[in-house]
Amino acid sequence: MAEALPAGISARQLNEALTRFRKIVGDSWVFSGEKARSYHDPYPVADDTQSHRASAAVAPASTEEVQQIAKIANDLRIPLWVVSRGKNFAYGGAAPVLAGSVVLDLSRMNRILEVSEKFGYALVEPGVSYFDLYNYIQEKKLKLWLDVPDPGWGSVMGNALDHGVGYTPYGDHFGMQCGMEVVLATGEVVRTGMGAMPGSNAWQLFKYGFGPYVDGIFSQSNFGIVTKMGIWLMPEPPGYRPYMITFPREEDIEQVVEIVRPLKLGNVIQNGATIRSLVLDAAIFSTKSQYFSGKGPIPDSAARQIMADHDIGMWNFCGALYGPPPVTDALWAATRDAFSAIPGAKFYFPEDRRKSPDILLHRAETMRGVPKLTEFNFLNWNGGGGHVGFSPVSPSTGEDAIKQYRMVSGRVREAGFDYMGLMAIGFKELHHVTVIVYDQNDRDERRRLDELFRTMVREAAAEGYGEYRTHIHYMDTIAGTYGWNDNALMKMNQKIKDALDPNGILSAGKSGIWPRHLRGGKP
Amino acid sequence: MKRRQFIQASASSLLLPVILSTARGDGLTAAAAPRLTSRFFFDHRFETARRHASDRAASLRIDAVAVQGDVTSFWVGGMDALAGRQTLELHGMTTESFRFCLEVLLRERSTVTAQVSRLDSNLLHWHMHSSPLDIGESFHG
Repeated sequence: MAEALPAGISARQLNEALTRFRKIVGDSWVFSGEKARSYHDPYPVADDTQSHRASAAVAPASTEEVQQIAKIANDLRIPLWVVSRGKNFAYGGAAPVLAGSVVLDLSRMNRILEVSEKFGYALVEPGVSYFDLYNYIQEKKLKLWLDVPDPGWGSVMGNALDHGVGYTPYGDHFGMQCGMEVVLATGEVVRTGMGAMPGSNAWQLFKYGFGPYVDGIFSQSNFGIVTKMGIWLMPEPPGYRPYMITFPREEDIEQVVEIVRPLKLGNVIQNGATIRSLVLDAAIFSTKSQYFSGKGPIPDSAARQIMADHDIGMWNFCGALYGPPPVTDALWAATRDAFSAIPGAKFYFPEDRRKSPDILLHRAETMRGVPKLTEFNFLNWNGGGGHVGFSPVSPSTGEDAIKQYRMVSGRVREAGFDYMGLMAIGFKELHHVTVIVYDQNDRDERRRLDELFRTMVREAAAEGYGEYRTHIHYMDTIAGTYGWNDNALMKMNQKIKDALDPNGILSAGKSGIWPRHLRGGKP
Repeated sequence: MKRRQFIQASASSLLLPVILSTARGDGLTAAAAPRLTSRFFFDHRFETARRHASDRAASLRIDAVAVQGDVTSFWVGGMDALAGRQTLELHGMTTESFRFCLEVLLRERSTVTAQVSRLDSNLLHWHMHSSPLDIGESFHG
């Protein structure tokens, strides 16, 4: 099947671009046809498999090559879709919003440029994965910990730029970003923060520099190509104690979150702790057919059996204590006292768990920054493999947590899926991430998923809950929910887009931001 | 236990079933010295996979490795290094997470051709042939 061409671009133009790209990066690093297959979303949501299909890919090795590619793309008006390592699965992987885009794959730019043990930071290129940085730290025997997402094969930079989160005290990945180098669409290179001062030795130490703080506009956007980024790393703590607290009833989530909030604001809960649902945790080590052979969501009897077999609750709070024993003892005493108010709450440390593998033993590694792929086991729940993340943000109140849970779980189960959600504890907010696992080969199931997703977006927005991140297929939909004051934010984004990328070559449609020539009737 | 030892221990434990089964003589290994470039992975949680593992491995004259859903320890424990240097013939009766993650990881180091068919709601039967990329550097593509 012929690959989709970008809108308004002829095959001749595309081929000319690829020829010129080959002169920059070499023949081996331009991919088209079958060789571009790894840039396809392995779990497409849309029925039309061409709707997010890349036409080709080019992989530069340096900032200078990125500049040259950007200039060629500008000359020929070739749309590029920028990926760091392309591991944004559940959100589209390396696939573009705009069909026919050429993927600009930055994964060859995989140098760890600097790691400072003294100050706790790394300066990395886009292709550096969590595994790469973790291995580097281990090999050099540095007393630093990473903060990793689940799973951990993605780009340190890419995850932060997409507002990803992790599970140590450094879990706000973009919040831990400090300084970046950006190639603009027209080929100029900019360094932000203290990096704009020649000879500065504080580029990765002080975020703001002088003047407007611009780093944020390069996150979840298409305003430039980030080619270097600083990320803060946690000093290895003098002690570490992971724990899990289980709660037996669905409605417990309300009281759990009310207890979590003051503990988090008061730094008693120090890390990006998570409250995980029964089925999500069961799916890490079991499959649905081991408990239920019928259609639709699992019944209560199956849920109770899962709880008994895995020694987990309807909700499972995984947190960790960081610091010397006198500190962690005091923090644990406060944590245990607070959660003891919930009838049936059970408290575990790793040594209390009876079986292996086990959810606390798995989370214990993640909460100390060990990158893994274990979390992908949830794909096996119903075997279908397809998965999409629905990720609204809410205030960290019990009232909002139970409301969100009932809204989302009700709709998910009504559509025939199991609720597999978690609430990731931010500083003052919750990220309520629900993974919907579906059979990618079942057209009816994909249709139900699409209807479900759009319904949940609409209903969440009506209650003031917006998504923090989304799949390429839904970027316009989510952007549309941020429409306060006649879409003032989108209008501002478009002005920035037109100024920084006048020919609209970078990541068209990312976060609903379109270049002028493709904007059509969009606000 | 330090984190790095944990990962290395896990990787070693994944290789152990091959060595132990040689001692048991249950037919799950083809040779006393396993050939690292060929493997038959089977998810030992499922009776179908266990039942077919020895026959399939024997017919292919390769060693069988018991796994679950997570490829991490196996990958960091040796497969990562091998994939960039050697041609691999990998077969499996596993869940989707193992197959999917392995294929994505292999494609970062090598050219991969893969065939997959579904056995039941849990298991896939698959084959992957990977050849190292013919260039002087690894590629996280």
